[in-house]
Amino acid sequence: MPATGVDEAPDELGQLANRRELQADLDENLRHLRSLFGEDRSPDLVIREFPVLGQTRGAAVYLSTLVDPRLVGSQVLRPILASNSAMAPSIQVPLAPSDVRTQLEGLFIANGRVSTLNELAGFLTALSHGQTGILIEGEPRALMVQVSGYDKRAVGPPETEVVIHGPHEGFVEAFDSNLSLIRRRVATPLLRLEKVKVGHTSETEVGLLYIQGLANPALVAEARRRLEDSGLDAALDTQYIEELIEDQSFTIFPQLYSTERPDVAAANLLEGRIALLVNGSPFVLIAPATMNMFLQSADDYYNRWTFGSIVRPLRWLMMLITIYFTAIYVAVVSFSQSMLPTGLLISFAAAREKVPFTVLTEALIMEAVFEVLREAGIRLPRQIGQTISIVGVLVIGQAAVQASIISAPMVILVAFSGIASFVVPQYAFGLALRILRFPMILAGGIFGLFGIVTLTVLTAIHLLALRSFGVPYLAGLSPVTTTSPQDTLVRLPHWLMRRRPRQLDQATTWRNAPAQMPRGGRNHGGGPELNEKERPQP
Amino acid sequence: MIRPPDAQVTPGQLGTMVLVMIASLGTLYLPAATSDTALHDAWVSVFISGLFGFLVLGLIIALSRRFPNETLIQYAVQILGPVGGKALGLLFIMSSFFWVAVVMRAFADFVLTTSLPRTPISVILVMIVAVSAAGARHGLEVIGRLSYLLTPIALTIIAVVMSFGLTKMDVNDLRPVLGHGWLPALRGSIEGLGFFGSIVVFGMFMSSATDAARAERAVVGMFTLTLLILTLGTLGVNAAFGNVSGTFTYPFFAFARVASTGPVAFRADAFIVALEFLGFLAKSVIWTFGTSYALAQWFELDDHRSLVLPLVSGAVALSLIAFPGSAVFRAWIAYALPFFAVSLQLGIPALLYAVAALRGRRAQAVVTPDA
Repeated sequence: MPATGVDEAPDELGQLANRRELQADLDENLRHLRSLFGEDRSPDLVIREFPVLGQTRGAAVYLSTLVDPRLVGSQVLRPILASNSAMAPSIQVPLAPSDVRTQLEGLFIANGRVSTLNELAGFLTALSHGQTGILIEGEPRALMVQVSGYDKRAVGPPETEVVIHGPHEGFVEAFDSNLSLIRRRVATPLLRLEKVKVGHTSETEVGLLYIQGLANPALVAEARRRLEDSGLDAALDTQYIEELIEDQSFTIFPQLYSTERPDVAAANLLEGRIALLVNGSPFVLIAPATMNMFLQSADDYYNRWTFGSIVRPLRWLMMLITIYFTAIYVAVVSFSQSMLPTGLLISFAAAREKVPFTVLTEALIMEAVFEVLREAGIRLPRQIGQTISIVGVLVIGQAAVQASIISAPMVILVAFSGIASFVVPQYAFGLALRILRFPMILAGGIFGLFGIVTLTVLTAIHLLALRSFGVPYLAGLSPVTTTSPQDTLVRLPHWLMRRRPRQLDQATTWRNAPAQMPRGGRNHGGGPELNEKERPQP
Repeated sequence: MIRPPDAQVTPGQLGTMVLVMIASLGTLYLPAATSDTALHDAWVSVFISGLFGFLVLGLIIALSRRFPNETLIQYAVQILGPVGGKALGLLFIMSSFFWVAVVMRAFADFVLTTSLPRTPISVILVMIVAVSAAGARHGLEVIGRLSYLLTPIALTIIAVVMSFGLTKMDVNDLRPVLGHGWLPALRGSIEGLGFFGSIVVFGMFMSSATDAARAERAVVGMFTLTLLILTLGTLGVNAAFGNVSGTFTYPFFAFARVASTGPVAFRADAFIVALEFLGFLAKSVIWTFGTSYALAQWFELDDHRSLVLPLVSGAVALSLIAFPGSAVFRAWIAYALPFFAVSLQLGIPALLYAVAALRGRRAQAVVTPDA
C-alpha cells in the first residue's frame, strides 16, 4: 500500500477505535490528538500547554475556527494562568490530579457550561462543536468548557414566508439562535428539547422540540425513534432529515411542514405538534403536517379574522385552478366542445384557427416554457433577472401569439394558472401542485373529462392513504375533526378557537378560557380562567 | 409507524358510501329504466324500487345485529354450517364478482357514448381497473373517507342541476298522477330493483363500523336521503319532459342539457358527466373492495390486498366476454337484472335471515377471562 496521505486516514481511525478513552499521561494524549488531526494538516488545532495551580502541568485543546478567542482568553486561559500565583503559596501538599481538576473547575474556570468526560470520541465531538478541552497531567478525565463562537448571519426577515402584519424575524443557520427565537415566544418551562446527533460524519445536531403535556407522547417517541434510526453520512439541511423520517417516500406531496418563521413554529408547538431544528438550516420542520396547513399563511392569524376567512377559500380555489385550469381547457377543446356556450366556443375556435399544433401539444409547450422561465428567474442573479421577464413577456407572450404559433387563450390560461400556483403559501406544496398539473393536462388531452376525473380520484385515493406520523394527510377535510371547522376553510376569531387540534388519539385540550368575546370592555378585569383540569399537565 | 387506534370506518363515512354509490348513478339510470313503462309516473316507480332496497338493507341490518362483529361471509358459516355457509358465501362472491363486471361495463359504455366514442373499450377499462384496484387495496377506511370527500361534490352538482332546471319544469306534465293505475308504475320499478339491491354489499361493511348503533342509523338515514334525492330527481325529469321522458337514453343528462345555466360558462351537462364519472368510480371501488374482502374472508386470509388485482382483471375480462356488445348489455340490464336482484341480492340475505331466525342462531357470547 503506498503511503499517501489519503491512505493513512483509515489507520488513524483504526487507532481511534482501538483507544476509546483518554489516558492519564498528558504527553501521550497530546501526541495522540495531534496525530488524529493529521499533525500539521489541521492548522486550526490549538494546543496550549501551561502549569496549573503552581504544581502540575496541563493543556488546553481547541479548534480556533470554532471558538470565540475572547472567551477562551478570559474564561479559560487567564484564570488558569492566574491559578499558579493564586494557589502556589497556600498549597504545600501536592494535590491528586483529580483534585486539581475539581479545584480548577470549582474555583477558576469562569464559564457556566463545564463538563467532564473520559471518552475520546466524545472529546473529539465536543472539540468540533466549539468546546475547549482542558487536560491535566495524570488525570484521564478532561474538563470541557463551552466557548463556541463563529460567524453567523444576523436574525433578519424570513425570505420565503413574507407577511404584511406580524413578526418579521426569521430563523438563521445557527442552532442556538433558532432555539432562542422559539424560547422567547413560548416561555413555559414545559418546552422540551431533546438533542439527537444525525450523520456519522457531519455529526449534525438535531433538536426535537415539543411542549410537554401538549404533544402526544406517542408522537414524540415515534419522532425520536425515527431520528435515532438514521444511518446517514451527513445532514446538511432539513430536507435530509425530512426524507429520512417521512412516512411515504414515493409521493410528490411534502409530509412535513417546513417553516422559516419562529412564530409559526411556536404556534405549531402550541397546537401539540413537534418541531425539528437542524443545525445549519434556517428552516424548522413541523410534524405531523396535514394538507390544510400548507394552504394557511401566518398572515391569516395576524389580520382580522374576516379577512383570513375570505382569503382561505380563495387559496383553495387557486389550488384547484392551478391543477385543473389548463387541463380542463385542453379536455373541453379536444373532446367536449358541445359543453361550451356557443359564443365562447366561437371565440376559442377563432383564436385557434391558425395554430398548427393540437391543443395538447400547445398546452404542454406553454407549461414547459412557464416552468423554464420560473426556474431561470430563481437561478439568475437579481441584476439580470429583469431580462427574463422582458424576454418572457415580449418574445414568448406577444410574438408567439402574433406569429400564430400559440393561441392567445392558451397564454392567458397558462399565465393565470401559473400565478395561481404562487398563491399557495408553502413553496414545497406549490411544487407538488405544479408537478401534478402535467399528468392532469395529459389525462385531459388523451381521455378528456373522463381522464381528468379518473386522475383526480386516483390522486384523492393517494392523498387519503397518505399519513404524516400517523395523522391522515387530509385530516380536516376527510375525516373532519372536532376542531377542523374553526381553522380550515375559515379562520374564526382567536377567542372562539377554544380547543386545540387533536393529534392522533390524544384527547382534545382547551387552550382559551371560556367567554372571551369582547363586550365593549364589560367582561375585562377578573375575567374567567382555564380551570385546573383544562391546563396542560406535564 | 403510528396507526390510529382503529383503522376502521366511522358511521358518517359508511353513510356517505351509500350516497355516492347509489345517488350519483341513480340520477343517470333510474329515470331511463323506469320511464319506458311508467311514463310520467316514473318517480313513483323509483320510489317503489327504493322500497326493495330498504328490504335488502333491513335484512342486512337485522343480520348484523345478530352477528355484530361478523361479515356476511362469516355469519353465513355460523348460520348454515361449514359446508352450506361456504357454499352460500361462494355464491355471494360470484354474484359480487359478476356485479363488479357489470358496473365496469356500464361505466365503460357510458364513457364511450358520452365522451370518447372512438376510444377502444379496453383502454377505458384499464383506467377503471387502475382506480378500482388502487382504492380497493387501501381498504375500507380510505374508501369511507373518499366517499366523505366526494359527497359534498355530488350533492352540490345534483342541487345545481336541479335548480337550473326549475324553469323547465311544469307541474301539469305530471298529471294525471297514476292515470293508468298502479300497474305501469309497478312494472317500471322492476328495472330499478338491481340498482337499489346493490346495497347488499354493506353486509361486508357493517361490522367494520366504529359504532354499530350509529352506523345503522347513518346507513338507513343516508339510504332514505338517497331515495328522496332520486325520487325528486326523477320527478324533476318527469316534470320537464312529461310522457316523452322514456325516449332519451339518459333522461337526466338531457334534462341537464336543456337546463339553463344562466351566466355560468359551462353547460350543466358537463357537471352531470363529472358526477357520473365520480359515481361510477366510487361504485367500482366499493364493489371491488367488497368482493376482494369477501374472497379473503372466504379463504380466511388476513389480508385482502393480494386478491385485488387478479380479481379486477378477471372482472374486466368477464365484462367483455359476458357482454359481446352494448345491445347485449342493455338487454341484460332490462331483462336479467331483476332476476339477479331478487334471487341473489335479496335472496342471499333473506335465506340467511330466515334460517338464522328459525334455528335461533346468534353470535356466540364472548367468553371473557373474568367470567
